[in-house]
Amino acid sequence: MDVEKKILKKLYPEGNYFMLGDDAVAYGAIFAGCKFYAGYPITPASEIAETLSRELPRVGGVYIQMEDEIASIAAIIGASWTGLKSMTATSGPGFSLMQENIGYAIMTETPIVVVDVQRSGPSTGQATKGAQGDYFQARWGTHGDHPAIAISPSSVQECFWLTIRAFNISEKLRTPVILLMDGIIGHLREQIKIPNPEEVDVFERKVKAKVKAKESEDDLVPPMPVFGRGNFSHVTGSSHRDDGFRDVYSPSVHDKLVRRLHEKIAKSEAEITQFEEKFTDDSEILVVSWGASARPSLGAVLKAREDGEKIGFFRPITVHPFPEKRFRRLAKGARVVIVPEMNLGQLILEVERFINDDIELIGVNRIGGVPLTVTEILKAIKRVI
Amino acid sequence: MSIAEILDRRDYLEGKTEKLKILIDKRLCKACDICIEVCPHKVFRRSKIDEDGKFYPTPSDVEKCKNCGLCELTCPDFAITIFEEGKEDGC
Amino acid sequence: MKKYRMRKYLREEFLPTTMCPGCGGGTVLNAFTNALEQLSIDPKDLVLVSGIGCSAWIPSPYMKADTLHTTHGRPIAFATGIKIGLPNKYVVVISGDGDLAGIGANHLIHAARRNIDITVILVNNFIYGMTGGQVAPTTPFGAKTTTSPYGNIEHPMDISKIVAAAGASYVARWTTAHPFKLVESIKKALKKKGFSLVEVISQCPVQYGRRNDLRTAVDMLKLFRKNSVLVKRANRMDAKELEGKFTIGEFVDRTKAEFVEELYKITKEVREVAD
Repeated sequence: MDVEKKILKKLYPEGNYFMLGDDAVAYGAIFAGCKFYAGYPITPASEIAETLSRELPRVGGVYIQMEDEIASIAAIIGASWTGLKSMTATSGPGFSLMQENIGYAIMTETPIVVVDVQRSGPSTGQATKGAQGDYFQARWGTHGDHPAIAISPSSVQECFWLTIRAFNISEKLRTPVILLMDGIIGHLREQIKIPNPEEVDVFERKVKAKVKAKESEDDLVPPMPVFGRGNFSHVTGSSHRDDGFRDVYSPSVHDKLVRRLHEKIAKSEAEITQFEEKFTDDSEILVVSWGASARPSLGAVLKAREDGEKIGFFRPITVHPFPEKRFRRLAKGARVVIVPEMNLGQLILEVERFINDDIELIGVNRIGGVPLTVTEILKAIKRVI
Repeated sequence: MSIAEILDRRDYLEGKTEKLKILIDKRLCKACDICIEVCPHKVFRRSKIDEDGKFYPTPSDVEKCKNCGLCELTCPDFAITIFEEGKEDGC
Repeated sequence: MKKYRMRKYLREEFLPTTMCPGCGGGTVLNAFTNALEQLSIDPKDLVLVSGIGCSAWIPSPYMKADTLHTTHGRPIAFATGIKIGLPNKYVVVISGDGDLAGIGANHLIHAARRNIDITVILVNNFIYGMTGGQVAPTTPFGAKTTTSPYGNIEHPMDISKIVAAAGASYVARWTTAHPFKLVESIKKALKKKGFSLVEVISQCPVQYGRRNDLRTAVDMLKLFRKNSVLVKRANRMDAKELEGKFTIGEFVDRTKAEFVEELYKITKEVREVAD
């Protein structure tokens, strides 16, 4: 076992623990090899910062608290360019502030993980209550044509594994990955198993010692010309050529760059996409949900199945890009699709894109900071039977 | 002059004495007049005729140059260099 | 043909620079390269960070080193992450007054407070030059700009004083008319352990000067020379006498606990080792 893993095994012995979703994110980051965290306190994400401020130095990492969220994301991008795996965590208002630099990270192909523990908005909203209103912000928050990758956990155990997955995807594709969780899961305490570090696959970014900045490869991911190694790299958020230098005058330079940023993600879509499905072999009614809302949704589906109804359940784990391919196939056999979520209807707009007009589409929407219940989702299901 | 000769014109303005040489790279010089102004010994004079739209600073009074380095350091375009004969300062 | 030896520090394929004729930015770049040479600093040990604006182009792309060209106002925050990741390199931010003390003032103040070992060269031309000459937080009272056509009614900020008060280890201010002093302060700033700021009053004849009876670079340099007062002397003058004057010199030079060093002390103490 390598030294890193030996240390993890020693500090965090394999076994069952009872912890917050936020804490599971922190430990997931540590197991993923995160060595730099910069953040700003915000409910309901502060626990991630608190845990990492304590644990990161123990694994040779560094925690810094910045003066605001903009500085936080700037610092993690800077740190990523020195070769460190970096992360920040926030909620709605902080996520809004971070958008400009998320765009910068996409444009400069900087691997970072940004955790958004969604809370009730807009604006200050219900600061301490979970919600799922940032779905499209995670996709389109920053300006311009850009791709996005976002992953949503539905349990404390998933918080651990999906944080690791977020790092791996981010490092592999040299792009920011959003861990789009919600305050319900973030502040939920559940049992989780911390694994043997040997069971955790950790991906390291492609780095070449001397590289012509944007030498591209089959996966469209150029090796990262990390700083401090004599590369004399030039990194800019302006539209740039393959060698990294700014060229804003040529339409073809800009076109080539921005399209490649999109294709880079599209090419690896099969690898990135993750979802869960149950009882979909014979389902006429499909319940599609994500994050915290997926749990009462599954509960309702199980209840309905007990009563003999042909109900299926589909949960996108990668919410951006949406698992289009599989979902289209499933939707073909459905008569009704029901989308419960803690917002006024956002995932449902994505679902709508992939189903035919003759399929009935119903949202079960709840805002106000209180999670959906099995009862109300079941009621919606019963109405269409 | 052929096109090649014109393009190859990496002209320098030169001022030379036994002891030193002042070179101004005409491609880099933007004729901003700063060197003319800052020189404490009034070595430079603004050309009365423009070349390529620029009135270049000519080191016409090079004998007065004390190699204080002020023009070299202040020039925003790295266009000036001063050599003491015998000392290979440039690259 | 021989050329100016400072050009070895530059990405020469990008010369001549896109800066206006007479822009003080070029002088700052010149002074910076001289400081590097005098200190024998290898560009491999240098990371340059800049934001958005004319002054942000001074290091990027012209300097042949690792250069990070960030979003507006944020280079200091990016530089913080870089310094922590590469504690043994010289991390230098070169950017403008609007970028570092306008939109980015918050980051400037906190980096000074933290006393993180980075060097900030703040080029102050008291205008937002790149966007065409709008009024800036550093524009003199009464000055005409494209967005203060009736004269600026705001008071300019004294950046060096604010950063000194915030806790920086070294703060100095010079003008482009004092290039030798500028080189000396840049050297001191680079060598200083802790947060260093070198503020450079610089001429923008095209956007600022032209609208305020200072049409040429020469006019502005003459003004800098005429109206500069050394700190020691300025401390004995009253507000009326100091009107319109630039106070130059070293404001602060002190030693205190530096952020990155303290940070790694914790890691060293607390870090787990494999058996």
